[in-house]
Amino acid sequence: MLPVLWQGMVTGCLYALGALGLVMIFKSSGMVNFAHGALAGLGAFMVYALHAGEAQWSWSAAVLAALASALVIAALTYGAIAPLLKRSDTTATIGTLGVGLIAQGLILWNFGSNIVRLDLPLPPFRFELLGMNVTAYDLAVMAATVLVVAFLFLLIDHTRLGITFRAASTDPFAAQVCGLSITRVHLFSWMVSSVLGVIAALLIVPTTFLSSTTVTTFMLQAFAAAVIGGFDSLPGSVIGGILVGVACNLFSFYVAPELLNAFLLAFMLASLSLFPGGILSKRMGSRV
Amino acid sequence: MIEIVTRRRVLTGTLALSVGGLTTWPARAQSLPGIDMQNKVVRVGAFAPVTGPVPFYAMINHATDAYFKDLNERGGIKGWKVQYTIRDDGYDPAQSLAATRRLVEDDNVFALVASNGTATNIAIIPYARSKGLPVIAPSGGSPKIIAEDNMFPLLPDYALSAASSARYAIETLKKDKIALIWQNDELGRRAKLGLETYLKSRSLSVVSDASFDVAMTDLSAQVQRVATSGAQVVLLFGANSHLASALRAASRISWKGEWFAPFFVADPTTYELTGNLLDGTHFSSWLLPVDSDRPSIAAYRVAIKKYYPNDKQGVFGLNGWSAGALFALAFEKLLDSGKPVTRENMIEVMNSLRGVQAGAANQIAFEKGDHRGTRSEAMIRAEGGKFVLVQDFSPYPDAVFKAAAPAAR
Repeated sequence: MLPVLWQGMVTGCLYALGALGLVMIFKSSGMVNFAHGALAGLGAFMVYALHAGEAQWSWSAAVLAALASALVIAALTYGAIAPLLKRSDTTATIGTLGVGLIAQGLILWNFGSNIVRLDLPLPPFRFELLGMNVTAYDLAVMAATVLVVAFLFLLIDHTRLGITFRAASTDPFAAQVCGLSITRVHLFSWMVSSVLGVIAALLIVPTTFLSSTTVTTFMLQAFAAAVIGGFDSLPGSVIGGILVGVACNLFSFYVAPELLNAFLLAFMLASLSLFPGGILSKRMGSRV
Repeated sequence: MIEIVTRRRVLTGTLALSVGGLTTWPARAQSLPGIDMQNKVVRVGAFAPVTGPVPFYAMINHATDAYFKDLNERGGIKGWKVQYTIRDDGYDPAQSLAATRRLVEDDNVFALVASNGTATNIAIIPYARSKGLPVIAPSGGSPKIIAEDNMFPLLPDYALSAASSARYAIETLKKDKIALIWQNDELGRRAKLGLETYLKSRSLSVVSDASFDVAMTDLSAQVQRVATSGAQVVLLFGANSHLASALRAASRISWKGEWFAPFFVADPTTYELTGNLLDGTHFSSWLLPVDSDRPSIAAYRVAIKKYYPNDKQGVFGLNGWSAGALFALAFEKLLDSGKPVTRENMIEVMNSLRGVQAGAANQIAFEKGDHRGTRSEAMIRAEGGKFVLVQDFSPYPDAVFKAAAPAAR
């Protein structure tokens, strides 16, 4: 039982990292970014091209370059989505589907439909604890999740930009009346979300490998995590991620892995029946 | 000789035919389809996904083309040259049918060789049947293809591969606690059927099984499930990315056991995904490994490097190379028979093949009513970045071979 729970926790942390990126954008603008997975996958492919391709950059240099590119791409994407967002959240949400297809097309155009390997530069370290095998990868995923959550907490609770973000996400109209720039807040959330997406993708691909669809597919579970946690709650998305990871692993192990998608849907419905806005939702009554 | 046909060429060709065809029609009507007796040329072709979602599958047809080019350079088949035409179908069954029509009616091919894909080959069945068109080594595996009188597939039934793997695990590795991780489609279902039938014939049963969807990228839960069942051996029937994910997951939980996978995973691209985690994995395969020193495989490595230097050498290529070799040996037999070079006689010759070797394949046999070309498999093991033959070809376990016999159409 413990090894199954542990593996579920590790996978859950990955879902949580994916969900955090989705929630950042939803909190600031009320729209769901369906391009999150494809854009994150594009970032991971960039690391692959620079590190494992002909360029042969060091892993850290490749990651920094990918993160910088992700910021630029986030700004450009927001630039394309912003006019749609002025019309309605739904129009903008549909617009992100188009952005996702473009990102996926770019991946296919540059890298084809092959599946490639992209590992983290980790030592082959492992130990056993209470019957659980703990590897360097497991610890890296846990550590990255803790660091990301701590960073977001500091950023949102203790910086001027973060306070603006909270104000705009609580009441955009009041924030605008007070002279806060909503565009700046949106841009900030898109950029943070984009960086989180690349980090999540780099942690996901050592397990799933990298193709034009793997990160997008993985982000579907992250989406479920965000729904269960409360789409407008950052701590909720972490809790939702871990819950989804553990529940899915237990279900696959004890019941039937082939029914996993059906289980995930039932789990979401059951959670939303108990907590209509998600476990830690602040905007009661708004469902996603 | 190869032609990859584009739309512009089709339009130009149609125009040329409509003008030139008026004068050549009477002579052509009397000739045999796909046969130029005067110049000793036999025209064959295939549809292939040159574009579309899986363009890398076209490596199969590149290898077939390389085989014919190499053959022609060495003098052909008793002086006959093979002209090979590839038409793009984008891996769309509707286009495969259109491409086959053009190959038969415009390009006037004698037979299809290595027509690419399973659903795509199924789509052409009624048309190919109506024309009596020999379809040699279609690279698709389905009982529907096997059941056709004019289709001669080489790809094995995965029920038989799973049974061969289990037999090796029990008899050679002396391990009988066998689990299965299977893709929940025809591939996995056939493997499950074959494994269960074989184990039942030995009064054993599968210790655990877990399925997965083809789109799944993380098999950690499936691996945990079979690892805790006490399994000593796991058969994984899925793609190389699935095996790679499973090996990763097993490594993470420190599970040590024997792994078996289907033949098409025994490819250098799998090593690129798994690294040395692949070492020790077994593959029951109808093809010899690409690193084999058999002269026909050494010739494949040289020819691919010469004609398609950008193609990766591996299972896809060996498949296409073997398809070309199968056509060549059957056509030679047809010439030797002294009978007219017709499609009907080619089908008759194909049905008379027993225990022949073609390219990287061994002991191929076809008989009327049973077109399971592959009837034995070798065991390959991944070792130090290479694929090594550890057991020579042996016939499929009898119990499963009989149970999985094709139903009469």
